[in-house]
Amino acid sequence: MPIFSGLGHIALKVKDLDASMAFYNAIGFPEMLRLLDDKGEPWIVYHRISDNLYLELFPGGKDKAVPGEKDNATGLFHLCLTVADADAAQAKLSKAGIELSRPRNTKRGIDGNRGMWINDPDGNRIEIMEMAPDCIQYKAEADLKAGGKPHVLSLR
Amino acid sequence: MKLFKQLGHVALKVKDLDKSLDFYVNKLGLTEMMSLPKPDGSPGVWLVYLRITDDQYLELFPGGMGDRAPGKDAVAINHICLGVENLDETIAHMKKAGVPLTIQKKMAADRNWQAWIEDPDGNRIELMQIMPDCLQLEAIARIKAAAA
Repeated sequence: MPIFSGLGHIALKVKDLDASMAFYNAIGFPEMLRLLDDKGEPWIVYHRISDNLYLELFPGGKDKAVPGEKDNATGLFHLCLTVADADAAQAKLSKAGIELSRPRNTKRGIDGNRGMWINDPDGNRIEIMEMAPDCIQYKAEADLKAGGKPHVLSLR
Repeated sequence: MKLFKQLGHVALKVKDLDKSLDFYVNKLGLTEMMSLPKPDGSPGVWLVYLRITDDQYLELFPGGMGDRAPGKDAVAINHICLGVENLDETIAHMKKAGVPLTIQKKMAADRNWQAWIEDPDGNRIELMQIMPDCLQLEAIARIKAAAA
């Protein structure tokens, strides 16, 4: 049996709780639970991604932006959320007033998938991905299950 | 229809790829799926995919600058949590694998069991056994009842 059943939650330390809550509510992850500290102030606000996966927002982040992608800072680099249809997702984001953080390339990426990027209010990078049935990730998984070795791919 | 299906992966920028692979594969038991070379053709690995579940991956990107992930009060991703079926068994496994707990097993305010470890770069990882009467499941039941 594998040790882990899956990711349980991702926790973000945020600078402006209201702005972060508004953002995550707007992209379809509603607030589900709030824990207060001994002063009655929010300690953790939970947003629901799925029945067994949550986002935790901790207010009180020190006044410093998230390191930029080009800084290559050691640590968590980005998160990825999957969608059934990248075009529909882009339309919904636009309607919700969420701008893409870089111009979208509508072609498939080198992994066979389509996607785009947004930033949350603190600059955390979020990749949005429509996984293709024949993408390199699924092929690698299928081979592993059949007893194969990890794939090493050359993209050129 | 919901905008997002789910969380697809979490990506880490790592200082020492070999150390991180040893930790996540040999000690935590994630399976290496594939590795990709740098798209511009320069030598070295661009990223390695590890499997958490069939549709959740951990991506490791080598070349991290700085020795440690941001501290726990920095504006940043603060920690990730991996779910487990039985925390006692997981803790026994960690001991055997030589992974020290940074916070010992405790029942948290949300009524779940948790213990904590750190990866080689200092990324905080919570190990969590969700209990049937926990606050999160109560909240989800409330959301569903309200939507029904």
